[in-house]
Amino acid sequence: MGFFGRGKSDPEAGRRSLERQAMWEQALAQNRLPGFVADRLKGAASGAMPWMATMTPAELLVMRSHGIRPVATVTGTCALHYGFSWTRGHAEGWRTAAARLVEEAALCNANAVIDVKMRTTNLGLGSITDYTLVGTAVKIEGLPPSRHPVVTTVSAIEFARLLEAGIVPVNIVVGAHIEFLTNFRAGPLNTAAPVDDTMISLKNYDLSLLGNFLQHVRTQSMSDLRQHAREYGNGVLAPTHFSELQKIHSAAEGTRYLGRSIAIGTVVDTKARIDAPHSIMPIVDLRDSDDLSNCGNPHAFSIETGGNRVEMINVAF
Amino acid sequence: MNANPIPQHAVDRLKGLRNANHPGGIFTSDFSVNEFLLVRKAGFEPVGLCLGSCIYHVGIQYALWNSSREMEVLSQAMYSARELAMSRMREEAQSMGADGVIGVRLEVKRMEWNAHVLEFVAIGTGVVHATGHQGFKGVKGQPFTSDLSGQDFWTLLHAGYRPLEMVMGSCVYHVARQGALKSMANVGRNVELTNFSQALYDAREIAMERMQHEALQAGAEGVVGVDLHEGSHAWQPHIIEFFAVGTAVKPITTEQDASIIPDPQLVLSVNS
Repeated sequence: MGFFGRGKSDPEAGRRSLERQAMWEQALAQNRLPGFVADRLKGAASGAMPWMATMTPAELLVMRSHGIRPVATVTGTCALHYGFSWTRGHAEGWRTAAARLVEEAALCNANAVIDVKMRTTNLGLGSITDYTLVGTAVKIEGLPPSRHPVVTTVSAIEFARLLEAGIVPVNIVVGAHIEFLTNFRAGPLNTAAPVDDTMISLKNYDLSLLGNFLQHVRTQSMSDLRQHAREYGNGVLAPTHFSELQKIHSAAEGTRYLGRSIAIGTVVDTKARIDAPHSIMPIVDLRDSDDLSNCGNPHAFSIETGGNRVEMINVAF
Repeated sequence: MNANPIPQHAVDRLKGLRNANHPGGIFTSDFSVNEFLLVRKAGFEPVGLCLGSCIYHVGIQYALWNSSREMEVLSQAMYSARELAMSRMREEAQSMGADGVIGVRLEVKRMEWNAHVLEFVAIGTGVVHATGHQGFKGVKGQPFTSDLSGQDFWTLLHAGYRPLEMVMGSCVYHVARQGALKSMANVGRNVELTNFSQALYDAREIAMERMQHEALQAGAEGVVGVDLHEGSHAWQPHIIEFFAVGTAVKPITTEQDASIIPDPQLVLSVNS
């Protein structure tokens, strides 16, 4: 008896769908979750419903050995229209989505949400982007439910390894900064150090004004990141950061440079100088990796045709 | 059955008992989880992300179509712009009191609005020795720099070496075109284009020599993780940059006896 067994459109189903939509609308307006979501989460928490986890069996093994139990899959979504700034829009969208994710996790008595995936969908509606976080809520044996479960993008195996080393990943944070550079004056054509790149020159120049400006924008976004992280922990691991400089012309404002920068990271809370219990053993895996097996592939060469000549640049056998 | 190996202070934080008020401020880093673990394991703590950027106008140089030669203006531009980005990064590291910078990446981006303007960025994580050991500083007491990952850093220290400085060499080269008569003569035959072979060899050789010279200046014993690659930054055809980069290293005190370095254990992973 499947859900889609009937083949015909069911008027009941249409009515139920409208009901659910109304409940979502009401819940989002009041900053809470609709009843059926709360039921699913509470059911999973009490064990009345099966748990759901994105973990692989290997991860499940490590979780079990560390007294960590999966509870439910939790999500947070925020579709946001970014008006003024793409960069700040990103930061705000993620922050709202993260807050909603935490709310769901708290409902199912979890202590942490791990393996959180960050997704955006471009809805094709101009400057509207949907920011979604999906993760697995877990409980740690012997701990009471947390009011603010910790949130992390790390996988179950890494989560366990971090906890063993006394490092708690606490939350996902976003730092962003956007700034225009307007008050600069292009120097005369033959100055030793031109201010920007407006003039064509045969010589090499360090455009230090622009370099320093971009450096400043990056520094600001990192300090924004630290500002938001301070609430949760004492360090940020942020392998994701992006920044760029654009040159913009407009009749009203003339030439301006736009610098923007965004960084996304995991806040960690840890004591300095704690000794991790692991001993590390160097190993060599005897299984051939994909990289190695490609060595036997004789087709890794490129051919460029220029005029009537063929250049074989790099032939690897 | 509670073989729960989680330390007490971590448990407290999970319970929300301990608040995150650390007086010592907050560190930032672009480490992955595993890098972070291994860097701590190696006895270092991250202090902050160090960035250096340099926006550079690259000059113009022409070469005769039939001459193979180095384009000194371009070589010099590529080298000094990277050097500026690196030194700005090192300054940041020094100002935050770091002993060194690891995981350094050097990126080159071309600005959309001007083909002659390149952005060079050097990014890495500044680290300090956890117990304040001063022996890990780089050249002239400045922070050391290295493009090695956290994992490779751990392994390097355990091999008995320490990083000194990220060294590099650059050579932009114009490879001569062939005359039409010569090309005609080669139609349908396998011929080595010796002028090409020679030019590519020479350019690569120059880049490596420059890198080696930098390592010598730094007082290194050797250079690990050498990466040698070719690139063209929207220049005319036949202009190629050869770039060599690596980490200059030095034995930690005197070279360790090889017998005390653990042999890697051979394993065969059974999951596929």
